[in-house]
Amino acid sequence: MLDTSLNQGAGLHSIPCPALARVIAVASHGDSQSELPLLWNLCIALASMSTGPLAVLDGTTPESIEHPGLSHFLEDGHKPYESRCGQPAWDVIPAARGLEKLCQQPRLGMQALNNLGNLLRSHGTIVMYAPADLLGTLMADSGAHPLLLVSSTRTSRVTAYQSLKRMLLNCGLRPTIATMVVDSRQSALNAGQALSNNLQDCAMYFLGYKLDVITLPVDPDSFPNDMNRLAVRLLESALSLQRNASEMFCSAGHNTTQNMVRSH
Amino acid sequence: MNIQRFTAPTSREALAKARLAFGDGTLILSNRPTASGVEVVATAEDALAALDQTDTQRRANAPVAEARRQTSQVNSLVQDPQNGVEEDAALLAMSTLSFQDYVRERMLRRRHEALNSTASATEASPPTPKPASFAEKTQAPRQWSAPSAAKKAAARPAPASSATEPVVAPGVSTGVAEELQSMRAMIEERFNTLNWLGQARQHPIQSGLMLKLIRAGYSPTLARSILEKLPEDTGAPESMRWVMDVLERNLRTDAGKRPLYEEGGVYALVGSTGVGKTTTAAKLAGLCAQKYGPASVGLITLDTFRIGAHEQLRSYGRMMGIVAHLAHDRAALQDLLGLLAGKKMVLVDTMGIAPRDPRKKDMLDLLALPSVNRLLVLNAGGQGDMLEDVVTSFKSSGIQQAVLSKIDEAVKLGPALDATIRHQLVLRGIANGQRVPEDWEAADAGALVRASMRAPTKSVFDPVASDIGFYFTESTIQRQAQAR
Repeated sequence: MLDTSLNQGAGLHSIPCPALARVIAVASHGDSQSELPLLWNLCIALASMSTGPLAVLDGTTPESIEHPGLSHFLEDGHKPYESRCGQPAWDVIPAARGLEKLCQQPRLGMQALNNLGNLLRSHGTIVMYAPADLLGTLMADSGAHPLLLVSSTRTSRVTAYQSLKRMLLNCGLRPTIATMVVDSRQSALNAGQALSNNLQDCAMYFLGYKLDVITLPVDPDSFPNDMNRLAVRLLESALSLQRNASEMFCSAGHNTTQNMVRSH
Repeated sequence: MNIQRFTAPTSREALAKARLAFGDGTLILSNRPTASGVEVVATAEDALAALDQTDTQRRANAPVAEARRQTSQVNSLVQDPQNGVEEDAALLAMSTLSFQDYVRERMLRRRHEALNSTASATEASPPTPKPASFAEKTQAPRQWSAPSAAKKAAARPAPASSATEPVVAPGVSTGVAEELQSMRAMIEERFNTLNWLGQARQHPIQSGLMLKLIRAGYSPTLARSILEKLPEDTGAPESMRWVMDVLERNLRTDAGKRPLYEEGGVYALVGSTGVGKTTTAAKLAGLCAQKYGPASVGLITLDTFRIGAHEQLRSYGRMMGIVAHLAHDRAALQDLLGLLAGKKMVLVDTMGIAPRDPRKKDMLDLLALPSVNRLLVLNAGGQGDMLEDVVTSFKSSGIQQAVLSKIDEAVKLGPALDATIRHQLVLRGIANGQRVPEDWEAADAGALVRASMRAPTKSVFDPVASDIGFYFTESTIQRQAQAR
């Protein structure tokens, strides 16, 4: 009895999992000072939810020989980022050129994204962090809700609004905006709220779009629940990628039995 | 006031004697012939003036006098039971048998007194309840000597409020009163047993069914209320079928509805520790995911207490491709429910809590959200009192929904079905094994009742026929609880 690979949840392995990977899109508009810390904390929150191995496709960093990335995988079909024991909680993959290549493919939209899903089949969640234009082209009309981060600087507000307008009007995406507040003081919260209201008013007045705005602290350590909430929200609204029919079963369950080691 | 009686052979002589005593102002109050002549009662006229003067004062004093009179009556009434109990105490020295006879006699007498007193003088007379309550107390053994158990059951609730309080009459020591109480309890038990045996001889089918129900784990309360309505002149097989039909009809299930995982909604699984809430949640999630896909299921756990609780649910979720979220408080739960609003089914796993754990209220308050349905998970193998305690303490308003878990481990299903029937819970399914999600079945009332009546083995806990009478004896605690 002890030698069998059966366990209490063996029956769950038969459940088809058509949504192999969830894709969370985070649009960059050049405000990396506020975007990168939040991206880091978002990845921590996502990894803690055990949604499977996490991959971050960094569309702002080009691949190189020293740091191979998405373009290499697309060219060679090589998959060096299979989930392995002892690996970090998530993989950061340079993907600037790779995403551009995907954008140049004749079949865009969900087909390209599904190819990406098959390429990263061992990852449960993929965070696609890329410039808004690139993201918009790649995910056009996919129904995704990219996240746009806005800090209190004037430049950030302008570029964020510009990105919002392009994604909404040109690509049919419906972004969500997260405004960053410096700390928990009332004045900072008021400033963040004013910024949110301003963006919402502009989106409604000029674009006819009811903008969904979240307020987040710059230092998420002091507000871990806010970050978890954002992670859950993004996860639940994430784009689900289809996988090939031959692979439409939960890999986690199979891995569980494969990874079993006899104790004697 | 001076009034004197004068007797003489003739009335003339009697009046002369009166005049001699009171003078010319003699006032004759009455005269009547006697054997020796005539008797005259007379007084002086002066006494009338004194009478007029004191009349007003007397009228004013009349209520006081009346009150005194009533008080004296009351005292006499109070004294009566005291004397009665003293007599009882004196008679305690007699043998038990003679005491039993004495008790019967006293009971009859007291009942007549109580009936007469309630019929004639029900106006406010404060001390009367005491003797009445004592009389009612002593009626209790008489009830057990009624011809059928059904009549007994029907008659019992009415006097419960007054007949259960232990009354210690003034002047009787507590020790004697306790002795009386214990003797009364013993007499009740003996009468009850004799009554049961007599009834068993008179109605062997009914008593046999009673024994069978109790052996199957059903409570005497439920068994009695069912068998009270057993049709007369029915054969043994028909009676058995009738009883099982009644049980089946009263066991509420979701037979006419879609299964829980197809119906969907937000369900919080509550119950005591170790009943299988997390496994049940995983089974329901797995079944829903099989039918509608993993994206249709949301999993939330509120269990931050048990080590590995979140990890356990997360492991199940990972196998299905579902994220299991952790909510620390009500705000987080509401937030998560809002985020998972688009799911077909959201299952909230909660911390197992003992029924009398003070944290239980906090947890139930946390779940008191309009969209959240509570699903009580009951261990089908649980002992009757334990199940009763759990169901009572986790009871909520509205429709009570329940799941019976560990059906495969239960030796007797009677206690679980009994609690389900009496509390009118709606069974939404049964868990009959460890496998997730295979070991889940729709609740079939007929199958469950049949399974409950199938005694697998002979148990040392099974009563024999002569023990059944004791099952109907009200314990002192029960009586006190009813009185409260």
